[in-house]
Amino acid sequence: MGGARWDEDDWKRASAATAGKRTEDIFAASGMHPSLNPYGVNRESRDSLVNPESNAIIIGLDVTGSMGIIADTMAREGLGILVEEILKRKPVSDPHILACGIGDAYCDDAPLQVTQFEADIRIADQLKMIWLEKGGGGNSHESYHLPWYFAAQHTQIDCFEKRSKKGYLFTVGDEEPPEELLAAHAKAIFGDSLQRDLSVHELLTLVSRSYHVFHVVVEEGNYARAYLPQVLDKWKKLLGQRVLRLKDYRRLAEVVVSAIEVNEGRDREAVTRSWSGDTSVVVAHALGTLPATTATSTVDKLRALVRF
Amino acid sequence: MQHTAKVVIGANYGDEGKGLMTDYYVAPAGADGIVVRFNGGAQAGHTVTTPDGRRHVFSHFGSGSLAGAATFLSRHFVCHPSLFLKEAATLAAAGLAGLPPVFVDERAPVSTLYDILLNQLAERARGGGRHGSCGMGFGETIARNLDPDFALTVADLRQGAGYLLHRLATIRDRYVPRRLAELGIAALDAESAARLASDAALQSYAHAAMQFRRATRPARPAILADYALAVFEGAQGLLLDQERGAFPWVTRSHTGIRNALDVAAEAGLTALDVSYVTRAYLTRHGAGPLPGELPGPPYAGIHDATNVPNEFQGSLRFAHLDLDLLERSIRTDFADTRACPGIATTLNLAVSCLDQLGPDAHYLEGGALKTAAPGALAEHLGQRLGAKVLYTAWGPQRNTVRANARPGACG
Repeated sequence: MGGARWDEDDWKRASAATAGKRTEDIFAASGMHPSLNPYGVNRESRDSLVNPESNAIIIGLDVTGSMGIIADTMAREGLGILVEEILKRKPVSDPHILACGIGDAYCDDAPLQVTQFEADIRIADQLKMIWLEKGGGGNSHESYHLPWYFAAQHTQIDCFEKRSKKGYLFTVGDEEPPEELLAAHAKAIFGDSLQRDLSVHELLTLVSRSYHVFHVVVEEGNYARAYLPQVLDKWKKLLGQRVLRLKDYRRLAEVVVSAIEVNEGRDREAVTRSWSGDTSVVVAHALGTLPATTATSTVDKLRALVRF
Repeated sequence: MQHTAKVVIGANYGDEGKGLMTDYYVAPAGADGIVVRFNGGAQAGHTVTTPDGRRHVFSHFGSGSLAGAATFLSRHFVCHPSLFLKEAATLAAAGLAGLPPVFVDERAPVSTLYDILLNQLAERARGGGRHGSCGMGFGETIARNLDPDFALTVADLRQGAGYLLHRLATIRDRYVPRRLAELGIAALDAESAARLASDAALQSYAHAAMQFRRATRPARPAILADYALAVFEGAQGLLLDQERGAFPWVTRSHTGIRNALDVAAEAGLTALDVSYVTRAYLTRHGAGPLPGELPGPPYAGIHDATNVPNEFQGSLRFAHLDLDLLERSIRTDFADTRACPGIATTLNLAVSCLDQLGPDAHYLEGGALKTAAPGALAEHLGQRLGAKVLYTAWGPQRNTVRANARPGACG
């Protein structure tokens, strides 16, 4: 029985009560913050007096090692700018935004981190909590399908439930799409018991019921720089024209906002021209031949036939 | 592959010299040796001083680490992620480049930050009636792990941080209130309440647990067969055993041979060479009875850098060795080996700190205070026990240990 070399020290550091500091200020964000843990939780995007016609938007950012220093900039600045841009330009009415940090289900401690849906810049506090684990591993993909699964199974969104209008889901990263979600991973990450593994196609079908799904390829990421044709090919086979090529990672906000606008029915050329100088070039590169036709759901079309 | 392993067991209240003897046994094998922790947890403080003067107090790593030996944390060892990381950092800072591997049985229980908090709150609530706990949550961990709804083992850590955070939140929200009620703690002070509610504390603990997971390798006892020599390193001492010590001033652990036999049987070992260790005088750290307690150290040469006083344990206390008590404790414990006829056992004795006594050693026998030369005291005790080998240590390093085989003695 030796000395208590550990007892009070860690608690003191961890304690909110010391020196009038907020606990979160004492700690550098290491490890997943409990409030971003997707295990056993649901997220809701609900209409309110202030946001009577809410629209859910999910942005998932790859925070693995292959993204390098870009992950820091995108998580610490890019996501914030994106939120501000969406709130400013309102490509859809009353946007409710949820951000995710995406890792690797095979080797990371925190393969997925999720904020709440927020209707204003309060989300900034949660963005700061996202842990940049910089993990990932020898495989060629990251777990971009985890936000898909989470969105499909663990979000309730009024835009879809009340108005049959799909939400938006963007994943952002430089690697290839994964092939499947292992039942064991679903158990560990979400606490869900799946009877079998789910293929990425099955997951896409599942999430596409209630979300428009896009992927943004960060062309400056380490993996994409080495294997860009392969990365694009695999994503296009999965998502077709909803693959957005981001050649300047500082323009994520403009690209995402533009994609939503085009998908909502605005003219692609007009959207591209609405940005100045270099930005319009980046946006044009990203949008490719993205069509506007998919914005109106079957239900919306049927509703349009009805006259009151 | 070897079939005979060494076992080191403290015969008293801890602080007997288990670290020294573990290092002594395993050092010849070096990296081909493995040290098995089979009871207790990171509240252990086993001091090893190498012949070249390096010194470390082992708590979570096996005491063979300085000699390059691997560690196996068996299912009877309570893991403590943050202490493990601190010790790893200390060992690395001390120049132990490339730490020897640490294997861990996935069934081993894991202490949480809430066990530590509960332990400290309980000891404070007891005030003057403290049990002498180290304040690290060991007993609370054992208590919590009895309930499957709130148990946490190394296997759980392998599920990842998401599961762990969820599990910890369940423990905090559902187990802690129940346990506080059991302990009779009605209201928390503001600081403790803030600690309990802190998300950052939870985050930081879970992160440490994930690092612990990465720094260790999963293994079963069969791993011992891959090593030339296994040394089982006991923690605490026989007089602190949860069943045989004086309750409640005990540890929630079997401190004797029992768990070692269990691990050895799982590992397929067929023989154990068991050494009971005692100092040449009796010490106790923390609260609880100490028969014949002396007002201070009995010899001028006693120096102990490991046992610094702390809030939860107080300072080191002293008495003369009572040979009758010692023999009874050791024989009672060794009798447990009869439950495992498949494992051959021999009984040995190690007496440490003999260099601190000066010319005259004092001890109790048959109720009388007697005096003998230090070496004669050790020899006399070895004879009473019928020890096969008598080890005497004349300093803190393994090169001060003398082995004295006693032909004709049997285990």
